[in-house]
Amino acid sequence: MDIALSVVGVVKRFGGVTVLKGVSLSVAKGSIVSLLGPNGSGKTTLLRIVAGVLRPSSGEVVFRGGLMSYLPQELGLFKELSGWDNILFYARLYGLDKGYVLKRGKELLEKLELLNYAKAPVAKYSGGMARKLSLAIALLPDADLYVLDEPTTGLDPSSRRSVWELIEELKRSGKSVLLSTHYMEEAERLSDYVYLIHKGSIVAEGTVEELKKRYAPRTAIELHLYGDAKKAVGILKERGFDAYAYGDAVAKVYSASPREEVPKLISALYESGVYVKLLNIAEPTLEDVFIRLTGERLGE
Amino acid sequence: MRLGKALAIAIADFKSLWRERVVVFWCIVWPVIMVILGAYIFTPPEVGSRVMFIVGVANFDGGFKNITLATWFNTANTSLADLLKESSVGQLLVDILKNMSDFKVIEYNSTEKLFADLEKARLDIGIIIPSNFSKEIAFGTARLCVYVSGDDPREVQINKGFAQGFFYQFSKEVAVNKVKAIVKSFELFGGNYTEVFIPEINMTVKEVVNRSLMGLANPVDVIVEEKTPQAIADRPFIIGWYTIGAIGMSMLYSGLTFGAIAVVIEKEMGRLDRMISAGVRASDLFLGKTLSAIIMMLIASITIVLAGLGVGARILWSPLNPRDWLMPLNIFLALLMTTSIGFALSLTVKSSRAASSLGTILGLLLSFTSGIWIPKFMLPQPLKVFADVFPVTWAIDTVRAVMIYNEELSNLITMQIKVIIATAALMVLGIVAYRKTIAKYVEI
Repeated sequence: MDIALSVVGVVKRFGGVTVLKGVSLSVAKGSIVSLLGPNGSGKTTLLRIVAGVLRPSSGEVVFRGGLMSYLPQELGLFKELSGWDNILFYARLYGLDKGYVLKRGKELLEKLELLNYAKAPVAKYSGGMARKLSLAIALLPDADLYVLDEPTTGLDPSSRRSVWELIEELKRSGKSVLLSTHYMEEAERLSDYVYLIHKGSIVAEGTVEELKKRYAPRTAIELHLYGDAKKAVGILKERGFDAYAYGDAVAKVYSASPREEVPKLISALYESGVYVKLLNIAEPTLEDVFIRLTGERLGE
Repeated sequence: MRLGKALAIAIADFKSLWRERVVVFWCIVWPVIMVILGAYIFTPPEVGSRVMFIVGVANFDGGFKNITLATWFNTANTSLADLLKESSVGQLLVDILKNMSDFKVIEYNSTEKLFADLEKARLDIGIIIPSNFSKEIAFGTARLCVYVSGDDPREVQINKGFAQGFFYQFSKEVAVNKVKAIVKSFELFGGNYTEVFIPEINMTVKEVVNRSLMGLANPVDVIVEEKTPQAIADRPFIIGWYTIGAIGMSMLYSGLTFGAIAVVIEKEMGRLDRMISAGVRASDLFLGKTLSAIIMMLIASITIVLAGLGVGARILWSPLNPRDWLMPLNIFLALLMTTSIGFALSLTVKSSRAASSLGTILGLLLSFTSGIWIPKFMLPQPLKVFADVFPVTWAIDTVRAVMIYNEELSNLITMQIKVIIATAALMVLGIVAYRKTIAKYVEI
C-alpha cells in the first residue's frame, strides 16, 4: 500500500498545555481518511501541522507527493471581493493555469450551486455559501492530498450531500483525502479508514466496520430519562448492564439481546425511582464506538 | 513565481482595501477635504492680496493761520499774504488717508459713533483729530488720538503695527515741513544775512540752517522693505504646501494602518493559514502588502494633487527635469518608512480593530505634530525639535523643496541621503518586527 502521508508521534504544546500527545496516523494513496473527534480534541491543530502552518513540538510529518491543498476551519476569504475574485486569488497563489482555473472553478461552483453568485461580494453570502466557496477553493488545485478541516460544518443536509459527492469524486480520481469531522454520518459514509481522536490522543483506528465490530458489537439502546443519567447508569451497572451516561438525562446501554434486556433495565430503573421518557433501539454507529471508548459524545 | 505570489496578495489586498469605505475615506477623502479646507479656510482667497484697512476719522480741526502751515500747502514764490492764509492740517491728513489705496476712510462727526464702531470691530483704525490740531502743529507738539480694533488679538496687533508705521511716517513729514517753514521764515525775515557765504564750509548761512534742521527732522532715513518668501506670501504656493502636507497625512495614515494591520487581519480572516499552506512565505506577504499600500498611495497622491490643483495650488513638476523625480522617490520612501513603523506597531496589537484605531490616531497625531500638516514655525519648541528629527518629515520636506520651493538639486543631496539612510534603518526595524508578529500567530 502506497502511503501519501505519515504522521509519526506528533506532540504539540502551547505554553504549558499539551494539545497533541504523540499522534501517529497515515493516509494511503487514493483513500479517504477521517479524523473523528469532538470539538477541542486536537483535530484542527493536527491538520494545521499536516498543512505546514504549525510546527510540531516533536514528531514528524512526512508527505510523499507533489501538491497538498488545505481547507482551514476558518473561511479564509476576502469578504469585500467576489466569490470568483477569491478563487482567482488562491489560483494565483498556487500558480494555476488560467484555462484550468476557468474550467475547474466553474465546475466546482456549479456543483456547489454558487455559479449564479460568483460575481457577488462574499460579504453578501450566507454562512453556508461562504463555507462552500471556501471548500471550492480548497478543491481547486489538482492536488495529491486534500486536507479538509470539517468541510461540512454549518451546511444544510442537501449541501452536505453535494460536498460528500465531491469528496468521493476526488477518491475516484485517485486523490488522497484527510478530513476531520465530528459528524459520525460523514465519517461512516466517506471513510476508508477512521482515526478516533480524544483529548489529543488517537483512541482507536480502523475501518468503520472494524471499529464497530471491535468496540460496539452490540445493539445500542438509547434512554432519555426523567432524572439524572449518571444515577441511572450507576443503577444499571450494578445490575450488570453495559451502560454509559452522556448529557444530563441521556444514557446508552449496549446489549447483545435487547428483546430480553429492555424490560429488565426499565424495571430496574423504575424500582430505583428513575423513569424512562423515551427509548430508542438502533444498530451501533461510530458515535457508539466513541462513547464506549471515551464515555463522551462526538457532538452535534 | 515568488513575485507572482506577492503580486496576487497585492492585487487582492488592494481590491479589498479599495472597497473598504473607511480606508478610502482616511486615505483619499479626508486629505482632499483637508486640501479644500486649507485652500478656503486656512488660506482664504484674500491671503496674498493687498490688505484693506477701514479707517474712521473724526476731524474737529478748525485750522490756523501760520506760515508753518502755509509752506506745506504752497511751496514757492508766494506772497506773505498768501502764506498767512488759514490752513487745516487735519483736513490735509484726512485727504492723505483718502488717497491711500490701502485705506477705506469713513468720516465721523461724533467721537461716540466712532468709538461704537471700533468696539464692534467695524473699524480697524479710528482717528480723532482735535480742534486745535493745526495750531499745535504750528507751535509745539500736536496730539492725535489713534485707536485700533480687530476681530481677534492677532488682527489688533497687525492694525496697531500698521497705524504706528503710518503715523511715524506722517510725523516725519510734519517735522520736515516745519523745517521748511522755519527756513522760509528765515528767508523772508532774515534779509541779506541768509545769503552770507561762509567760505570755510562752502555754503551760505541759509544752506547751513536748512541742512542742520533737516538733519534734526529726519536724522536717519530708514528704509524697511518686505521680502517675504514667495511660498508663504502667495496663496497658490500656500495651497501647494498644504497639498503636499495632505499627501503626507494620507501616507502616515495608510502606512501606519496597513503596516499594523497587515498580519493580524490575515490571521483573523483565516487567510494566513491558507496562504502559508499554499507556499506563501513571510517575504511574499511583506512585499504584497507593501505593494498594495503603494498602489493605494499612488491613487491617493494623484487624487490629492488634482484636488490641490483644482483649488488653485501652484505645484511645480516636470517629468523632463531629473530633479523632479525626487518627488515620487520621496513619496515612495516616506511610505516605506511609515509602513515599517506600522509593522513595528503590529507587535503591540492583538486585533485588526485595535491596529486600525492605533494607525488612524497615530497617523493624525503625527500629521499635526511633525511639521507635515502644520508648518514647523507654528509648532511649539519641543515639537519643532521632533519635526526636525522625524525622518518622514524629511521626505515630505524634500517633496516640498522640489514641488513648491523649486530648490536646486545640489541643495537637496544631503537631505536625500539622510532620507535614504533613515528609510533603510526603519525598514530593517519593520522587517524584524514583522517577522516577530508572524511568529506570534503561526510557526513557520
